[in-house]
Amino acid sequence: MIKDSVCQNVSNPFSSRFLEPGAIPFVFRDSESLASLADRIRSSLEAPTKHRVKLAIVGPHGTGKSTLLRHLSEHLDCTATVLHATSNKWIAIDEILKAMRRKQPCLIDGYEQLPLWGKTLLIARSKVNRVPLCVTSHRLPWDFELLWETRIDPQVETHVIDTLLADADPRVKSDLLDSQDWEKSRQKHRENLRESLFDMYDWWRDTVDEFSPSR
Amino acid sequence: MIRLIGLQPTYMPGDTLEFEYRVANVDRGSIVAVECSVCWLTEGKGTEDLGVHFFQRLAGDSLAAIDWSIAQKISCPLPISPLSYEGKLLKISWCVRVRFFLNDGTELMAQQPFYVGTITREV
Amino acid sequence: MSGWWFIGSLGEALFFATVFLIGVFLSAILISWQLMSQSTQPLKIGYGFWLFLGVCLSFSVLGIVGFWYRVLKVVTSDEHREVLAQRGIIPEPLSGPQQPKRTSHAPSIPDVKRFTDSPGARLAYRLPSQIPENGALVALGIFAMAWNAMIAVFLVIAAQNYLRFEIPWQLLLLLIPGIYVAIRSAQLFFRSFIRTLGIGSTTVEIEALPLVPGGEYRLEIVQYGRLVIKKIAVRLECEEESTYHFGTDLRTERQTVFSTEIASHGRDRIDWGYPLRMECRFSVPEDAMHSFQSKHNAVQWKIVVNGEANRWPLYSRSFPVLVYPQPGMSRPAAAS
Repeated sequence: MIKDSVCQNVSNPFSSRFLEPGAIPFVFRDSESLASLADRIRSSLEAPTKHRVKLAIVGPHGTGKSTLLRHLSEHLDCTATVLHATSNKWIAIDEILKAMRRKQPCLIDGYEQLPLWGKTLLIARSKVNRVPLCVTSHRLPWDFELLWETRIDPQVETHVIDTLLADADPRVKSDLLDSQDWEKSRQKHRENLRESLFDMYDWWRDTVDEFSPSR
Repeated sequence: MIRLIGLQPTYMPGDTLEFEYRVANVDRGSIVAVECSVCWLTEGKGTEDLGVHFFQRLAGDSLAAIDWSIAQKISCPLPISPLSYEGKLLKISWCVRVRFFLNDGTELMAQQPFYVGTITREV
Repeated sequence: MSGWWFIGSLGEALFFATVFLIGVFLSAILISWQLMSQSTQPLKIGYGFWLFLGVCLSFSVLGIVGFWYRVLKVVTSDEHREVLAQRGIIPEPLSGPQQPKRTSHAPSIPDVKRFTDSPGARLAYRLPSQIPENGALVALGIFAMAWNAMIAVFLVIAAQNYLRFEIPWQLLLLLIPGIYVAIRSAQLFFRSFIRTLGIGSTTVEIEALPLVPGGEYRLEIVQYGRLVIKKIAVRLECEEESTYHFGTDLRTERQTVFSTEIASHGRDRIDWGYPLRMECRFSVPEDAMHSFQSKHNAVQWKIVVNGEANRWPLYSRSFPVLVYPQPGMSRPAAAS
């Protein structure tokens, strides 16, 4: 991660580049690990057709589904297709079908954005091409197995804040966690940690940023 | 190690940006390509945007002709926009980046920011 | 013009809309009778038939032309139509002081042509509205007109079948929601039209574009309509906009980073033919950031007109302007 210094001003740690999926390593609870989840996907690739499963990473907004999928795609050395509300669905489906023809696991971020015909097509083609599907969704889609359920707990929250403020003065972290802005934001956004971190961009700018232009 | 020499902290729009770069402690034979760019980027709450104003790539024959014992000079006129800016939701900053690509897959990068214009904060 | 302008405009629009629908209805009856009825032929295909069809179609054409003439007369001013007619769509601008050199290479700044392609009646340029309300009204009108015409034709077909003792169930199932959409779209259109008649359009003209930091500019604001204004205020604002994609989320956040009032007007009565005109001068701050547009981020300047009127909701209209970097920017003097 490269931090730019503009006129001796340190980057705001709550900027989008530090909060985008994959920027903060995913933290697992219990004894689960990235390798074991990747193994489940790989084993589905090698299993007989009738045992192949469709897997889903499920959880509310801002709890790390996209981050986990991105880590899995790096671990499995395959690409994940990300679907936004404004994505061109035709292009996205075409990309996924190409990945299927290469016999790679198909990772789809934002499965719910696909139209019904798109989902039907991809499920059918995944069976024909014998590749596993792994998607992110807010709810478990029909006929999918749960790969991982993301949620925010104090351990995850602490890990994220520690990562973001690793280079900052230790007092800043305690100021942040004790601030009213943080408390209000967590109450407002609840499970959605990302939105709370976004709100802290304003807090950092107004409280911590000390601008000193060199002229 | 890459050193950038001669960059000023501030430039005015339309000024000519001149600097030199040199590389040390690197086997010259292992350099596969060199890229030098002058670009602006946004930072803040929005997805980052990048605008490349100047880009030079040296590889193959053009790379072989370079004498790495002397500093390489770069000169480019700066545009009138965008000016460096620090606002509430976004910041715009300029920087010079020099990347060396080595034959073992390693990438060395040096980056130095600079300011364009005289605007320091949101209006 | 008298105070009956409001009722007169609304009445004319309703009248011509009715004429249009009658024309469509009669044409549909005539054509369907001739095409679908096999046992009776009320009119022979001859002079009488074509005359009657011509009359019906002329009703439709008269209705369309009259309706849109009335609506467009409300949404554009007489002066603006006159200037467009005389000067053409893209004239040379009037003399503008402090015009910066229009460099062809101003990266990441929106194209100035988007802002200067509309001539003003008194000053050089008429600023486009950020949300083209008139465009929305016209679009809604076209939709309502087309949909109502289509429903009228279907109603005629359904009536024809009913008279032959055939009940077209599928058509009736379609007509139920169709009639609801027809009534609602007409209702929405006339509600917007009434609001446009009452509050009217706001035009803002400026003496020069693009603006530069430190520059001073003349502005003219004209508020049309038929209403009693409590207060109308004009502001110069700068807004930052950032869009971010996070996984599957797409969000846009906006924040006003600069806002200053440049003109205001207190209680006054506005009537059609007697709009409120305000002239003022304003300055762009010396250290203003120029307009900026990249794929996900923007810095936008605009003139905002906020109005408060009796018996109408508060309204706010934005008119984007373009700010270029200050030409010949020089280094600040070294501190002593």
